[in-house]
Amino acid sequence: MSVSESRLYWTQKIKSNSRVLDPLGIFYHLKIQTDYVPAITSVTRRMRYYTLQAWFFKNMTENDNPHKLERLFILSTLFHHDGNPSHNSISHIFNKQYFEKDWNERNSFPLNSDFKISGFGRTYYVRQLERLRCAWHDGLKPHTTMINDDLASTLTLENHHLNQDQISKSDLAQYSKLCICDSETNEDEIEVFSKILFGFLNLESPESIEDNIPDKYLDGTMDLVFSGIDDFPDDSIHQELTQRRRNTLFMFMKIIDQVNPSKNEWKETVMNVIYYKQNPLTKNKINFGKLEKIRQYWEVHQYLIYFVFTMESILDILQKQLRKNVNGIELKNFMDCFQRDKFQDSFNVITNSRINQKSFLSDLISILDSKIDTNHASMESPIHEYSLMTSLKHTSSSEEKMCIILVMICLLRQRLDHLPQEILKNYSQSEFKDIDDEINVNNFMTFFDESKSSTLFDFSQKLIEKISRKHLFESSRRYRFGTKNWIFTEEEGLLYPSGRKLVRINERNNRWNPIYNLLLDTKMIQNESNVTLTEKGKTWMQMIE
Amino acid sequence: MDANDRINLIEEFSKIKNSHVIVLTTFNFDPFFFDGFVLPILEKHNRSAQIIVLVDEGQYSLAYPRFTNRTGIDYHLIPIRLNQGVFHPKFFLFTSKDEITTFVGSSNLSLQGFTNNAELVIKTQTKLDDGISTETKAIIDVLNGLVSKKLIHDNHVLELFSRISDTLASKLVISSDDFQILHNLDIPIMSQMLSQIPEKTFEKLFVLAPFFSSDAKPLSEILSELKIKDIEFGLQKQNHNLKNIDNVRKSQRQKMLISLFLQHNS
Repeated sequence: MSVSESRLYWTQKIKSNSRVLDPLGIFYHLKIQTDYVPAITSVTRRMRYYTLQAWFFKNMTENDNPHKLERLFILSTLFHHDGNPSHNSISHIFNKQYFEKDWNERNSFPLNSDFKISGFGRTYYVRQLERLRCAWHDGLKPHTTMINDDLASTLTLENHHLNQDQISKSDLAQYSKLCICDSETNEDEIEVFSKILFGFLNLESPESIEDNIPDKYLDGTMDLVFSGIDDFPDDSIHQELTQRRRNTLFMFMKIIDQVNPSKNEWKETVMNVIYYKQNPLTKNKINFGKLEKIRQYWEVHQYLIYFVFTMESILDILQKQLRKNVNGIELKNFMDCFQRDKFQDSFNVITNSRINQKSFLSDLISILDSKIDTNHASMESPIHEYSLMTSLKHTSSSEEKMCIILVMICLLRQRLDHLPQEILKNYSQSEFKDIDDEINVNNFMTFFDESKSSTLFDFSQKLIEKISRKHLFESSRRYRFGTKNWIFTEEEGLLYPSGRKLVRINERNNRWNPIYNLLLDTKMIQNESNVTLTEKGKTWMQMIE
Repeated sequence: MDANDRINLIEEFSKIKNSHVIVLTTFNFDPFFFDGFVLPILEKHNRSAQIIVLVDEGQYSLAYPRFTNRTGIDYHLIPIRLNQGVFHPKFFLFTSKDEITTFVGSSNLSLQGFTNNAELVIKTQTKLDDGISTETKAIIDVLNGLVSKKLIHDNHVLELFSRISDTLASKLVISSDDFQILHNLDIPIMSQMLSQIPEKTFEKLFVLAPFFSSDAKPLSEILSELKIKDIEFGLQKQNHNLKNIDNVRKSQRQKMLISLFLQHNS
């Protein structure tokens, strides 16, 4: 453009196309699942990846390409299962579908960048090896411990193909021991990794794995103490984090041992036993003994899972209504989208009571108080958090969804005062400095308390406004970092859909699956028709009972 | 203008550096978008800039629930209340020691305005040594009008406007375009526009707008002054308030637009 030139332009449309994670910016409530199973993340689901990365640290140098090892691992695993990426034994392997279409036609495979992999095996697992005191990089050079060496040594692997760019199909045969299913029979790997995972480590110099586990503690004297506070001296950090993970793993195993859940319902069982302290099948109370302290952390976590899911379900109502009204909806009259009769009918069905359009929030609270013991979570109650969450997941009606949400909020408000407050305090502090976070659990419940004289319809409208504001704040904030994740935008009081695909709203409980898988890999549990402890698992449980 | 001439206002804002004063006017104001996204961009490249946002007073009040801890604190946020009508201009003025950049258009300071709407924007960039553009001159006139009508009371902002006006007063207006900004500080825009149209008979009126009043009063006003055979409406798909569109056809010229023949004026 010359110095005096003016030009008329159309503005460029910028699409919301980033992955939508945490659209309300409230996942800070869910950090218990990060803090209490360090070294296990939502994506670290197989023992063999830990071993593989440990092997790389022990046997390769910084100049070697870790992706080559990962490619060899993927290929040898596929080779061992006739190129079938869907084989049951090889679940949770990254990039295993790459050669799905031409596996049979190929005689050789690239080990170089022609085989494009995400590198997640490296990305996701190396950081966890540090938390397991195996290996880490201090910014200058890698460090490994005897713990790492012991784990690496359980893997028998010739590395001469790692200097090559190709490997023939026939050569893959010699790497069958690298296949992930080999870890099912690699007793050394299982034993060493079990001890590492449960934190049976000597932290003296040199750092090493404890001997005589589990025999050493079979009298039930194993230490389970953890402080639960984040402000502890540097030299005790590892001990604290290890104890948190150990407690959580044993708690999981205790639940499996007590309930023997069916293979398809183990996850719900774990959630419910933690939250209700009941066997979901017999409704009998479960005594967690030494594990009661860790259970309380996970109870708070489960509570916050319900809270986050409820808030995100309001967002779900917003996005679905906007998809039906592509020319925008006036925010201040959003509830006009609802059919009032349907709204009322839904209430009557859910609460089995007469609620009308003019009923107040306080009326709903009174009805719930008269029907259930809102102070104590119980699976025997006709309405409880898990049943509401299940209903929320399955209904497609906005009116019904909003009714369930209102009942859920009433329940969660009552439960709030009965949770361990010291634990809750650490996980309910807003992370935002620029705004007073309206969707923070404490702020939200204060708002709830102040709204009891609102009609249910008006309260729902306020909920919609709060949720839309927080999403708009969060999407603008995230956009600053390049993330385009807005589900809708607002201008002059109208909300407009972004036009992106429907964002699926799910509960954000994401540690139980990897824990389950790692306990299967370490042969602590087994899944036949039901999930049960193995003999090994039962023996290990003796260390704490 | 070519239909492919697109401007990304966010990229444009990111390119401008070392401004002393930045003046942004808007009807609708989104504090989340401005404070969380635009302001950090402006601050990053214009560390010592005084940033002034002029916003319609009614919209200012509506935006209040979304005020952040930075709103109106780390920049000047001035609500403008007109005796009649709303404060609706959208221009962005960036002044530095040796350069002025302006954007005059239809975008509000909102995420919707910057990302999703089909907005029109005129951009000018001039070296102060060469003079100033007619667009800049027109913007300064509007700012002076706001000051003279005592619609701005913040002394610091008044002083800044006065300084800009004084600095630019002596500059040569270098563009040859007959560019005007019509504003509604004194007289409604429609009557000014109609009075400036020399012809009174037209084959076609093309109306490009997202929102239409239900009583069609502005159209009636036009039709009472001008003789027009056809009226064609340009709408952005999924972004207008016309509920029942029966005769929609896709425009050959604008992929983003659909045009609609609504009525035949006999």
